[in-house]
Amino acid sequence: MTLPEKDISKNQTITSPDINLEVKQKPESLWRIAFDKFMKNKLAVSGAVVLIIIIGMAIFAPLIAPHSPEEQVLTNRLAPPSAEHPLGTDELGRDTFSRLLYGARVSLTVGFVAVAGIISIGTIVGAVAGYFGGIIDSILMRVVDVIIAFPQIFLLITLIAVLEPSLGTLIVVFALFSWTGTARLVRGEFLTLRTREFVLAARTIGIRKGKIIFSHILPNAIGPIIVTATLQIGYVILAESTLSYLGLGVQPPTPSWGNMLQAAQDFSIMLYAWWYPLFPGLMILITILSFNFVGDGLRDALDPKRKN
Amino acid sequence: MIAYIIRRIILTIPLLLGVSVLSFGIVQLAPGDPTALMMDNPGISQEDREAFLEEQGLNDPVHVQYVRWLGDIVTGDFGESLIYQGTPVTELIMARLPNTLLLMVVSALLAIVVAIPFGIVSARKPYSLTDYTVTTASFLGMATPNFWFGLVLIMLLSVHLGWFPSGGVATLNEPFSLLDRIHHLILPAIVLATAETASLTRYTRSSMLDVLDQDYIRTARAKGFKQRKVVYKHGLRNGLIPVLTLIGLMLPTFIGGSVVTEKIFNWPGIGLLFIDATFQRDYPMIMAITMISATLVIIGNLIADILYAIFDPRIEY
Amino acid sequence: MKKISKLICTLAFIFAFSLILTACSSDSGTTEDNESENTQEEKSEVSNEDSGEAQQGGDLIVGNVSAPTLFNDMFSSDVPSDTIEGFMFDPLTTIDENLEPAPGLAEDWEYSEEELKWTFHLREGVNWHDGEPFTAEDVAFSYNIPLNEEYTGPRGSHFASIESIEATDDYTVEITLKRPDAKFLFQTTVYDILPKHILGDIPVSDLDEADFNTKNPVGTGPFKFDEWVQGQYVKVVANDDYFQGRPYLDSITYKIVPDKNALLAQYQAGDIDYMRVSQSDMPTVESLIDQGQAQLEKVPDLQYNYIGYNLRNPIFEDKKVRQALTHALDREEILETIVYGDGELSNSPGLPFSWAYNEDVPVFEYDPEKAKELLSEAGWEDTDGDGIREKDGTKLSFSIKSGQGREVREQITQVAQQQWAEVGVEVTPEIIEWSAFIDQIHQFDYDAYVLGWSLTADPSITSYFHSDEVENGLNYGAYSNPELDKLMEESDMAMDQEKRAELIEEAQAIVAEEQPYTFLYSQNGNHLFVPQLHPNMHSGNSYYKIHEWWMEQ
Repeated sequence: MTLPEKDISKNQTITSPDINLEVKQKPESLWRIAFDKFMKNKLAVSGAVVLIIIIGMAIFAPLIAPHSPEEQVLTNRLAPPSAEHPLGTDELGRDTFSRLLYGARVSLTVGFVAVAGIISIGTIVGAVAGYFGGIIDSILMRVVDVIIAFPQIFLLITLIAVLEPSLGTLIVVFALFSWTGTARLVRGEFLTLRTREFVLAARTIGIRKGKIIFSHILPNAIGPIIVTATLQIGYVILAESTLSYLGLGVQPPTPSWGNMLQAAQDFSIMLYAWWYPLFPGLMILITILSFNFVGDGLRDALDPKRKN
Repeated sequence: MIAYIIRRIILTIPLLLGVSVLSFGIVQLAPGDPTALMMDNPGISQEDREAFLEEQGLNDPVHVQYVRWLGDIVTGDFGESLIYQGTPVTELIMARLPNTLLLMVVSALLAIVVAIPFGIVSARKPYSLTDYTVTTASFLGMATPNFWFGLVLIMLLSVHLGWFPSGGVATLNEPFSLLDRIHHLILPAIVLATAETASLTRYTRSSMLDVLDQDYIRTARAKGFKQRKVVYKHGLRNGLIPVLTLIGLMLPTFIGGSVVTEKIFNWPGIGLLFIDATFQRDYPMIMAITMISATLVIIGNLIADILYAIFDPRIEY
Repeated sequence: MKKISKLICTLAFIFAFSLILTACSSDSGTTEDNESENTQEEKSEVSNEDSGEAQQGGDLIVGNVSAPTLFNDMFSSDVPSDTIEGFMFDPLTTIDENLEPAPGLAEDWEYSEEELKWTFHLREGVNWHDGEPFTAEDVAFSYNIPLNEEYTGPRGSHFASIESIEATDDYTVEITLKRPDAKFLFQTTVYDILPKHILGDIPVSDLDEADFNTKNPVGTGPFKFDEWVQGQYVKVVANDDYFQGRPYLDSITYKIVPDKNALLAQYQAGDIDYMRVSQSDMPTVESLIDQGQAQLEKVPDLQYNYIGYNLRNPIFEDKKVRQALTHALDREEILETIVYGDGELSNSPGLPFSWAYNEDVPVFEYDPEKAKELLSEAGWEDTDGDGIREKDGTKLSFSIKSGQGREVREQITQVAQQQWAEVGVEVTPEIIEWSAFIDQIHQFDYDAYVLGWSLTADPSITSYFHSDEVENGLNYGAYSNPELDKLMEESDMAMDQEKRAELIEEAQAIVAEEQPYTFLYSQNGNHLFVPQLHPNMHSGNSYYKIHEWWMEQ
C-alpha cells in the first residue's frame, strides 16, 4: 500500500492563494498552463498514452479478443504463447490474452467506480467539515481518525470475508474505508478557502450554503482532488490484486488481473509456465505505473508554484 | 508542553472508544460461524455445533456481547480464542507481536536508510536523469504487487540460488544465532519495505523541493553559500521534519503490509494470525488484533505528534 | 541533525529490543534441543547393537499449511491436531493396512451374543509419559467424557450408541451399547485414550480449556510433547518407554507454513522432510525426484469429491435431470486434466479399496446426447430458442457453489458451467469464502455445490443419505428414500462383516442409480519426503506406525 493521499495533502500548503482567484477570472488560461506543463513532463505523457491504450483495449475487448474469455480447452492447459494464443493459455486452457482484455474491464471498473465513491464521500465529508467547522468538523474528523487508525487492509479483509467477495462488495468496501485521505485533503482546502473574499461576497448576497460549497468553493479545490483520484485508482487496482492473493478479490470465473495473477501464483506454474503469471503481473505493474506517472504529472502541472 | 501532551493523550480516549465500536461492529456482520471448519468432519452434528455456539456466548444479543467485551478488554482480557480453545487471545497475540514489530522496525529502518538519500539526490537536481531514474524506480516499487515480488524473490534467491532461507524466523532444531536470525529477516524486510521506501522517497523529494524553494534557501544561495552546504545544512533540517512525522503515519501501512509478507515468508507474526483468524471466524481474535493494531497506530501517531512538537519550534501548544 | 540521529538511535534501540524479545522465546527451546541431542547419542549406541536395517536417530520435520488447535481428541476437530495427537496418544484399537481394526491399547476384544456388550482386554505394562501406569480406569474415563451432559465438544453424537462403560478390573473394560452397532468397533480406532489421573478432577464443562490441551498433553504414544511455538511449530520427542519399543526417530517437528508455495519452497531449501503435495505441484515434484532430492508415495485418500444437488429445489426433483447432468459432465477429462489423472473416478459413495465396494453400480458416462434426451424426457425443452431449456416457465438455470481456496473444485465449477451449457443448462459458478460457503450449505442456501467427504475407515453411508440426517445431519441435499433408509439401518446393525458388506454394496448401487450427487473422483494423497526417510503409510493413516519410521543418518 502506498501513501498517495499523504503525498497530496502536502499540496495544501503549496497551493498558492492568489492563483485561486485567477481561476474565477480566466479559468481557460490556467488549465491551458497546466496542460502545457503536463505535456512537457515526459513520464506523465507516456503514462497517459499507455492508459489511453489500455482503456481503449478494455472498451473494445469483444472486438480485439481472439477467443471468448470463458472458452475452455482442457487438453490445452498452460500452453506457451503461440499464434493461436499470443500470450498462452491458463490452467483451464483459456486464452490468456482474451482474459487479460476482459480482466482489464473488471480491474478498471473496480478502480474507477471505487474511486468515484471514494472521491464523492471524501469530498462531501471534507467540504462539510471544512465549511462549517466547529462541532461538525470535530465529529467528522474524529470519525476519520478512527478509520485511519486501522490498518486499512485489516478492515478490507474482515469486511470482504464477512460480506462475501464480489465485484459489488469490493467496490463498496473500498469506497467506505478509503475516503479518509480525500476528506482530510478537501477539508484543508475548504478551511483556507472559506474565509476568502469571494466566499464572503457570496454569503453576503445570500447564496445558499449548498451552492456556495459546491459551485463556489469546490471548483477551486478541484486540482488536488483530481490528483488524488488518479493515484487512488492505481492504489485500488493494486489492493484488489492483494486481496485476490488472499482469496478475497474478484471471484472466478470473472477474470480480473488480480485473480489471474493469483491463479498463476503456483510454484510449478511459475517454473514451467512462466508466461502465465508474467502477463497479468505486467498489466498491473504498467497500469499502476501509468496512473502514478499521470497523477504525479498532474500534481506538478496543477501546482502553480512549481516551475519546470 | 506537558499540558499539550496530556491534552493529546486525553483526546485519544474517544478515539479508542470509536475504534472499539468499529472493531466489534464489523465482526458482527459475519454470516459464517467458527463451527464451519468442523464441516469436512462427518462426526460433528448440528446439535454439537449449537452447543458450541451457546457455550461461547455467541447466541446473545449484540449489545450484550459488546458491553461484555468492552468491559473485559478494559481489564486487558480479550477473551479466549474460539479456535485455540481455552487459550487467551492476548497470549497468542503476545507470542507473535515481537516478530511483527521486529519485521516492521527493520523494514522501516531499511526504508528510511534507502529513501532519504535517494529523495535528497532526486530533489537536488529535479528533472535530471538521476531524478527520472529514482522517480521511475520508486514508482515501480509502488506498483509491484508485493506477493508477486516476494514469491519471485523466494524462487530466485532462496530456491534457485540458495542464498537466503525461504521463510520462517530461524532454522529449526538449531541453537539460537543472531546471524541466522538476520539471515531469515532480510528477504521479508525487503519485501515489506519496498512500497514504503518508494513512497518515502517521493515524499522526501517533494518535501526537499519545497524547502529548497523557500526564500531563506534562495537567500543563502544568493549570499554565495556552497550548494552542498545549503542543501545539507539548511535544507535537510527543515525538509526532513515532515518526513519524520510521516514515519509515524506509516505504521498502519506497515502492519497492513505485514499480512501479505508474513504469509509469503511464513513469518509468525500477527498479520498471519489475523488472516487465519478471519478465515476461521475466530471473532475474539479478529476483534483483538484490529483493536490492538489500531491502538498501536494511535500511539504511533501520538508519538509522531509529540516528536513533531519537539522538533519543530514553530508549533505552539 | 542531532535530533534526527537521536531518533535513529531510539529506533535502533527498539529494533535491538524486539530482537531480544524474539530471541528469548526460542532460547528456552534450544536448551531442550541440546538435551534431546544427548539422549540421541546414548540411543544410537543401542541401535548399533541391534544392527537391524533401521537406524536410530534423526529429527523429522513435517510441513503443513494449517496449524493445530489443541491436543485433546475429545475437543479437537481439525486434521493437524489429529495428526499430532496421533504422535502422542493411542486409541483403544488401530486401523491396519486393510482398513480393519487391529490391536492398540486393547490387545483383543469380544462381544456378547446379543451384540450389546463389548469386552476389551487391555495391554498390561503401558505407562503414561509421566510414568503413571495406564489402566482400564483411563478408558472408562475417556469414553465417559462425551456422554457427560456438561460435555461441550464436537463428538457427542459419535458416542450416542453407548449405554455405559465400566472398568471391571485394571485391564478389562466392558462397554454396553443401546443397540447393536456395527460401526462401534471403528469408533474405538478413532478416539485417543486420555489420562484420568491428570484430567479426572477437572469438571467436564471445563475440560475444553484445560492447560493439558495446549501446554502439557500427556499420552501413552510413541512421542512426548516437547513444545509448541504458536504459529511456527509443534515438537514432540521420542518416548523411551513406548510399549511397542522406542521410536527410531528422536523427534518430530510439525512445522506450520501457511502458504502452499512457501511450503514447497521450504522443502526445496531442505527445511522440511515430509509433506503432502497437491496435484498441481507434480511438475516441480517430478523434477525434485529426478534430481534425487525427493521420493513420492501415492496413497489413495479416504475421500471422494462430488457435486451435491439441493433436492428441495424442484429442478432437481426428477432423477433424470440429475442423471442427465452427470451424463453431460466429462468427469474422465476433469480427472485427467485438472486432477492430473491422480485419482480414481467415483460412481458411488464407495471407495475401491474398501472391503465394502460395489464395482457393478450404474455408471453415467460422458454422453451429451444421452443427457439431452433425458432432459427432454423429463420435460425440459428449449422452447424460446435462447439455448436454455425450460419447463412450465422455469428456466433450467441454477448456481453451483464452491469454497474459496480449493482450486481444483473452483475449476470444476467452471468446467461444469461450460459443459452443461452445451446441453442447454445455464449454470453460474459462485466461489464463496470458505466459512460462509459452509454456512450456506448448512442452511441449505444453495442449488448445487462441489465438495468432498473425508471418510472414516468404516464404509457405512448412513450419515450422508439417511432421511433422519436431513434436518441436523450431513444429508444436506435432503435426499430421502425409504427403501434405502431401511437398507442402511440394517447394514449398521449387521455384525457379520460379509453380510454387512453385501448390504452396503446394495445401498451403494441404489445411490449410484439415484444420483443425489454427481460423483466425481477420489484422489490420491501424494506424500513427498526426503530420500533418507523410510516412512510407512496407508489410506487410513499417513503416519502409520510412526515409531517404526526411520531416517538414514
